Amino acid sequence: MLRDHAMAPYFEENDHSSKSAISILGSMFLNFFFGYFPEGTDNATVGQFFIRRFIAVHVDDFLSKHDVLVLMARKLCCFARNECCEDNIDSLGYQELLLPGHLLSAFVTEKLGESLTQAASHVQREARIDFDDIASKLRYEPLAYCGKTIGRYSGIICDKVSSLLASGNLVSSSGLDLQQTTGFAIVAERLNKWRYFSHFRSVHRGQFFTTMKTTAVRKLLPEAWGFLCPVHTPDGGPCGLLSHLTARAHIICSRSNTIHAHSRLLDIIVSLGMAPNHTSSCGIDCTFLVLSRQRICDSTLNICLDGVLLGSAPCLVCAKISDALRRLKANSAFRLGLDPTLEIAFIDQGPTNSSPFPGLYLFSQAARCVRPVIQCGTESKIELIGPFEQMTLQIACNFRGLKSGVGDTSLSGASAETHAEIDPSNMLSVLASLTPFSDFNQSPRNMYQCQMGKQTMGTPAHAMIHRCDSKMYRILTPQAPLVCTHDYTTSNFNLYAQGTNSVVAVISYTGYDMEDAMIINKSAYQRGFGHGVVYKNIIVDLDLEADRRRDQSQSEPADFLLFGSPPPISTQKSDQNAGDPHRDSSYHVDSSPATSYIGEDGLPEIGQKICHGDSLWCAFYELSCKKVIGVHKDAETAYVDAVRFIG
Amino acid sequence: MMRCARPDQSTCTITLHYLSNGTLRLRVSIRKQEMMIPLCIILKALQPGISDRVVYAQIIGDSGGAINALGAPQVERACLRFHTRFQNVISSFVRHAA
Repeated sequence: MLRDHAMAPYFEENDHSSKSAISILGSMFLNFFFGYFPEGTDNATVGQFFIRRFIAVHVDDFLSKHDVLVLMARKLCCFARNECCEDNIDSLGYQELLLPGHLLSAFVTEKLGESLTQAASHVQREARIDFDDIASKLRYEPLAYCGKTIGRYSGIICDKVSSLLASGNLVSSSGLDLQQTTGFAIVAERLNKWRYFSHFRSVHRGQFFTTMKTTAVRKLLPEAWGFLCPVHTPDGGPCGLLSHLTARAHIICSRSNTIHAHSRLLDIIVSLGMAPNHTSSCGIDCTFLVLSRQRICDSTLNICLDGVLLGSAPCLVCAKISDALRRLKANSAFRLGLDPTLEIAFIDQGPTNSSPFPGLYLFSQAARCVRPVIQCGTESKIELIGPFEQMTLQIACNFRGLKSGVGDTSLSGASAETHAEIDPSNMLSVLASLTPFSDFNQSPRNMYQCQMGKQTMGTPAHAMIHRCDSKMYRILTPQAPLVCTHDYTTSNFNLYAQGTNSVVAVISYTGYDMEDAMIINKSAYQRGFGHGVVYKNIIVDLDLEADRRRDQSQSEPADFLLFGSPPPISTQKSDQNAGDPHRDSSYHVDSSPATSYIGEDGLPEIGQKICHGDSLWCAFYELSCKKVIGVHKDAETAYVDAVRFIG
Repeated sequence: MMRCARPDQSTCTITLHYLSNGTLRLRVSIRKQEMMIPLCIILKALQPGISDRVVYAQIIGDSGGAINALGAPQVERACLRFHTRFQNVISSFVRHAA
C-alpha cells in the first residue's frame, strides 16, 4: 500500500516490472538520442540503449550492472554512515593513465559513429524526397550507394585525427569523458637525449588542475612511491602536476587477459572459497539465499575483478585467497595462464571509520602502472605490483631491511614486511637517478638538476647527417662524467654525452650569482671547452618561391624556376631587371652578393662559410631565363653542412 | 565515482551521489550534459521484478556492520523510511518526466 496511485498509468501491468522503469528512462532520454532510432521506437528500447551506452559500461549484462551499482551504493551508504573513509582521488592508487593510443582509438570511434549517424540521416532525408529511388538503390546496388553516402561523411575523419595530433585540441561532441579539450599533444623536443627521453616518461595530471588555486593535487603522496618520481618534477607552474614515471615502473598498454584467463582466474578463486554471485544468475529466489547467508556470517566481503562483482567470501577467506593468488602470480602465472600483472588488493575490515571500504579487489586491465618488487617467501620472487595493491602491502626498503619476514611463510602478517624493494633507487626516475650523490644534496637541488640536465646542449642524435630537424643543438667536445651513478652506465647515457667536467672556482667578491658563473681557463676555452654547433635546416621550395615572386613582380604565370645558372644568352635580360626599384630585398637579381662559390647547379658548396646577406642558392626561370638568387637571412654566420634534394 | 572502461579502453564515468535527504542519485554525463537519475529507477530497470525490499537489503542490510550498528527496530524504521523515500522519488521523477 506504499505505492502512489498517481503512478498507475506508468506502471501498467506490474508495479515493479523492469519494463516500466526502462520505459520511464527511455521517455526521459528520447530527445537525446533522437537521430539514433527510427521514428516510433518504443521507450523501452531507448531505455535499454541508454543503459547499455552509459551505465556501468565495463560490463555487458544488466544483472552485472545491477551488482556494480548496488556495490557502489553500498560503499556510498557505508561512507555516509561514517563507517569507511573517503577515497582520495588525487592518490595514484585510484587512478589510471590515459594512454595516447587509447585516446586516439576512442576519438576515431566517436568520429566514425558521428559520420555513420550523419550518413544515416542523409539517407533518411533523401528517402523523404524520393522514397522509391532510394529503395531501389538500396535494393539493387547497396554497396555502391552506401559507399558513396558514407564516404561523403567519413573522409574528414583523417583530417580530424591529424588536427588532434598537430594541435592537441580535442573537438568532440561527447567530450570523451575527459576533463580537458586542449593540450593533448606536446612536441617531443630533441634538445638533447635527456629531454627527448623524458617526454616519453612524463605523466600530466590534467590541464584542469593547472588552474586550480589549491595545492592539494600537487602534493607528493606516499601512494605514488615507486611509480612516480618525487624528484623529477619541474619547479614552478606544473610542479607536482607533471611528473615522471620511475625507472622501473611501466604501464600495461594492452589488456592481456583473455576470456580463458578470466575463467581460469574465476575457477581458482572459487576453489579457494569464494561464494559466486548468485544474485546475478537466478533472480529473486537466490537473493533470499544470499540474505540468509548474510545472517549466518556477518562479515563477508566482496570480491571484484576489474570492477565486476564476482562474489563474496568471509574476511579470513578473502585474506587466504589474496595470499594464494599472490603466490600463484609470482610463481606460476604463465603455467596457469594467469595474468602476471594481476593487481591483488585485499582491504581488511578496518577497526575504525578511517579505514577504506573493505573487500578484495583484483585488476587485470590495461592503462595501469606496475612495478617490480621482491616477494619474500620461502624463496624470493619478482612480483609486479600496482599502486592500489601497494597500499595494502608492507614493503621493506631493501632486502636487508626486512625485520623477520624472510623465512616467514605467512604473507598476510600485518607487522612483518612481505615484500622488499629490488633497489632503493627504484623510487627515482631515470633522470633523477643520474645525479651523483643525490642523497647528499638538499632535495630541491636534485629537482633543479633534472631540469638543467634537460636544458643542456648535448648529443640529441647520432645520425645528424641524415636528419632534417628544423633546429638541432650539438656539443662538440663532450666528456664522460668523472663521477657517475650506476644507472648512468647501465642506461648507456655515455653514448649521448653532454656537458664537460669542470672545476668550479669561487668567484670574485663583486661577481654574479655563483650558480651562473664560472672562471674558465683561456687555454681550456681554446681547446674547445663548451664548444657547440646549431644545425639549421633551410628548405627552398622553388614552386613556392616562384609563387611569391609572381605576386610581387607579375611575371608570366606559367614560368617555373629551376636550380642552376641561367644560359649565358639571357644575362642581358637579367641586367635590365637589376635596376628594378620594386624588387624584394631578399631576392637580388644578379646584383651585389657574390655567387662565385655557388656551383653550376645553383647550390652552395659543402663547407662554405656563409654570412648574413650572402647568397645561398641560385635559380632561373625556365622561359624568361631570369636569374633569381636566394640569400642567407639568418643573422648568424653559418657553414653549409649538407645539401639534399627532396622530391 | 566510477570510471568504467569498455574493452577498447574508452570510458564513461558514472558518479553516485548521496543526497542530504538520504536518497541516492546517479550522475551521468550525456553529450556534456549532466543528468541526475534516481538510482532506484536504474536498479529496477536493470533487474526485472526486483522488489523494494530486496534492493534495500542489498544496499543497506547486506553489510554486516550496518546491522550491528543499527538495532533491529532502527533497521525497520530505516526500511520504512527508505520505502517512502523511494515512493517520493519515483513519483516526483515520473511527474517530472511527464
